[in-house]
Amino acid sequence: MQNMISKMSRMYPLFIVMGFMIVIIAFIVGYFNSQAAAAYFAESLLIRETTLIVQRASIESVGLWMLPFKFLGIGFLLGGIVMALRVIIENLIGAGKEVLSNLPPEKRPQMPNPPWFANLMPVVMMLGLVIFLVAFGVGLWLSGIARDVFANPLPSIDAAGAGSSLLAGVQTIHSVDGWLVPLKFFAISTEFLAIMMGLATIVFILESQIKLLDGTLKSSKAAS
Amino acid sequence: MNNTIQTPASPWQLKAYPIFTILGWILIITAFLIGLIVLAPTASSYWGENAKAARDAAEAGSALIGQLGTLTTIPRWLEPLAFFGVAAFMVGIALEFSSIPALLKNRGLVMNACFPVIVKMSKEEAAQKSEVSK
Repeated sequence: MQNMISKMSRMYPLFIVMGFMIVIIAFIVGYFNSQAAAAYFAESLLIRETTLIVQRASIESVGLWMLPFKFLGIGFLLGGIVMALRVIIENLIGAGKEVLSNLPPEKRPQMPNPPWFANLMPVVMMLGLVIFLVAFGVGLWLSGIARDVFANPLPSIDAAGAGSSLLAGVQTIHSVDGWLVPLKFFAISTEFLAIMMGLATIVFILESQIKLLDGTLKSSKAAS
Repeated sequence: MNNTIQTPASPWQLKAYPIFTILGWILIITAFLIGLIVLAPTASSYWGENAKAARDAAEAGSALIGQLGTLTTIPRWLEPLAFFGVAAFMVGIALEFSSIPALLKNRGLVMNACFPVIVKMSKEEAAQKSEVSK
């Protein structure tokens, strides 16, 4: 399992490129959506409510999947950083073992086991990415609902009564938005937690290596 | 070559960063729970159970106006609160990063003192091996 994670971690540039590409795509789509909105609001209300209804549905639905999509890009970038930290950790452990291999086996100190959170780091990173993917999926689902709701003229939406499918659509969009925004922040903090675990592991390894070398030095002084 | 050093002290940042991590988690989870428990049901009730005419006709002090107040005021501080949580995490990460140069310096000092010992030990081992082979 750890070997597979090690191999995957070396693919961190791919995650970073993917994340960056997603953010760039989101920027391009956002720009074209803003141009569509500018063209839409340049027309009179009568034209907007008769011939431009499809454009409004498109503008509203794009706005709903765009934000989770951008967050997904950030998620891939943060995931790439976590994977890069894992590579650094493995290289640090390898370098430490190499230095200690110069000592005679009977005087070679035992390298301490990595802390518990070192093994948890990839799991937390993947959990964060899954939350980002779920948020994006929910965003896509909401955009579909928005496309259906806003395919109707505004007076029809306004006139929709309790229990109607139109009002149910409006209800879903607003109520899901209430928890979807904090969920994205939750996903970001999960990725940050994985980064903190990675950095804490690096700190642990550096401190352990300092202690090991210091111990070697002291024991050799005591022997001589 | 100096081979007597004092064990270097851990950087202070390593004591401070868990506080910011915990603070970040508390703020983010609070924001998520407020969104899930307060905002989502209120929005569901406000938008789903009342037609626009009923919402527009709501008078001051009514439950609908109360819900509208909740839906317009909470998101205005909830998002900054979530950002505050993210910022607390980032401060924690920055503190962890800032401790690494001090640790590398400590490691360099210890390695500098230790290398002559390691070289001496490996030479002794090589000499012992060659004597055994003779």
